[in-house]
Amino acid sequence: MRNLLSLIIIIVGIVLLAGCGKPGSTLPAADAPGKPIVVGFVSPALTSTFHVTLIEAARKEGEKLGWKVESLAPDRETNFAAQVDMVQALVRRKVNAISICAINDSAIMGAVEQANAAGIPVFVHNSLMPLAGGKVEAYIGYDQQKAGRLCGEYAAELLKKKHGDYTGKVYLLLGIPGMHTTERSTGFLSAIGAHPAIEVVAKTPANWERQQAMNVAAAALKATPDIDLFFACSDAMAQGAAQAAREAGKSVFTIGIDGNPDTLKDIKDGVVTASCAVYPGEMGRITLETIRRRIEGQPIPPKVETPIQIIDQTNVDELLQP
Amino acid sequence: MARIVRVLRKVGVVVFLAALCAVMAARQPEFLSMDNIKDVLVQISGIAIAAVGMTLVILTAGIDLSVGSVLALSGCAGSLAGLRCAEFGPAWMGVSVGFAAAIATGAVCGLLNGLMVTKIPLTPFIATLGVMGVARGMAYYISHSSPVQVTAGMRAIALARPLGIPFPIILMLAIYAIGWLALRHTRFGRNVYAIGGNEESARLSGIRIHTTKILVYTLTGALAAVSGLIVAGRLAWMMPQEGDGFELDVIAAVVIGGTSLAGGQGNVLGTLLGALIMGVVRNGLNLAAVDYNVQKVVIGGIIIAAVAVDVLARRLGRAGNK
Repeated sequence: MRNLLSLIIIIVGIVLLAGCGKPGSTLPAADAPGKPIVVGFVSPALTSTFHVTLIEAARKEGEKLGWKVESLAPDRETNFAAQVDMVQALVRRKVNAISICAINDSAIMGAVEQANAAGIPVFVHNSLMPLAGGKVEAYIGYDQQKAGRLCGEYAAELLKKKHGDYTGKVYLLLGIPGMHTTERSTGFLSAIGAHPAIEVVAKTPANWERQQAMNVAAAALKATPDIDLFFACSDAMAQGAAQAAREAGKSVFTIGIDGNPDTLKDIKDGVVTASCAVYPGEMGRITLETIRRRIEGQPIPPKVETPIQIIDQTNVDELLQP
Repeated sequence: MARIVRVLRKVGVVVFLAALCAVMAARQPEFLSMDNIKDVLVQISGIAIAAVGMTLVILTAGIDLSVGSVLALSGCAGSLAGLRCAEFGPAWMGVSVGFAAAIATGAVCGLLNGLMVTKIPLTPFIATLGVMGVARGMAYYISHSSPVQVTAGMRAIALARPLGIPFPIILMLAIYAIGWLALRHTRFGRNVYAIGGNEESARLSGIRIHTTKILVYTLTGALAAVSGLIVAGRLAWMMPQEGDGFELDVIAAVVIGGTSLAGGQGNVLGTLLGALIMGVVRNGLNLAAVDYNVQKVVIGGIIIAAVAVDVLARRLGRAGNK
């Protein structure tokens, strides 16, 4: 018991001493000669192939420059505090740059401000929405509304091909309510809205999950047997809808957003109709490229839009090439 | 002999922590910077404060699975109340009403746990599992499933640095000091140990079991609310998802600290060491940019090792007594 008590006293002592001393700045900066440039990437979680692909591409791009790209991510997308802790750790190491894909924009602001105070440039990847506070050098991501719009325009053409005119019934599968769902579905609806004869049967959340999308789509097909097309805010949900249509013995169009490798295979096999590919690898590469330009003192734009493209059976083979 | 083994176990935790720090410092020189040490202490403060309550609960041979949900509910309730109040009255009123609402919410949840455990009686596992669900659901309900902003005043207190020491550290050490004194030098503390050691003989010797247990659970709820306020202040926002899995971290800190799940043995200083060990591991691995999933594996291993040493020590102790 005594030793434990004395340990507490030591901690208090250390902290008190720290309080009297000047904060920070005794360590050598990471860009001292001989030390490689280190860039920290902080993801929401590495449970989806999207973020894994993005980080791998950034790492490869970094290797070309002789830089070290380090990846940190909490175990699940609800661990807000862990993400903040990770940014803090990168700040303490005085890395040369930090790129963040925040679980929650608001919760990360404090950590961004800390990095700002330490003079470390901060970037945000996979989002073009400005943070409410803190200084971000550049936002790198794709325009989610545009992705939805591309899907909507593509869907309208599919319906025209089927019915001879812009008419038919579409059903929307939404993700968990939030920025991603709003942006993507708004884009889709704006494109569809140009054709008043196309009817939107319903917009139902399926929480980004394949299984849930399958249940929702199966019920929808029972209630409205003549649905022509499912638009899902993510690939996984489009795959769920495709599965439900197969089980119901119906031929409907299914369109998703992501362009994940397994979806590409489904598109090739004719299970899913199309997906708006958002190229996470490109996003990772472009993020590192933007960071390089900033570190080398070149001018960079505040927002960098990364490419997107509709993938269907006509062009899927290009992406499936290794 | 038993006494020697027990002392060795305690010294073992301290030695292990010191060795851990030495390894981390050798690998990452930033580890021992004052700023980083303060980071670690602030990062563990949420878990450590709730763990004082959990230590009391476990000392009575109980368990409280609801602390993570109670943290979210009381954090949301406090933030909402603070926001509402700040609209009408002066800033200090918003702050005090926010704090009071949060702690009251936490205490009521704890009281509910205590009443169910003593008066129905339900096993602590079931009662607190129920409250875990109820509180989480209510957190989503009152926040309309979206993040609640924390008022500037409440944030300022969590971020205050009197004498250069972050306020969460001071609060944590104060709560541990009170917890230690209460367990060692008050009748309440002796009752807690007596109930955990042998509830029947505690009853026969006239200890008011129900009152003590209800008090223990209520305190735990209130302390979970204090953790919630610290977390909310750090993140500037309170998310209804916050604290998912938090209860397991809190229980882990208590167990690594040497408190027996069978009750009657252990103390809060061990718990602080347990929380420190987890914090040091997480921070060190963050500094080394090691995947969070690896952190989970390492901490899981430490829990098993700590308890295994306990069991072996007790066995040895018993053999020595014969």
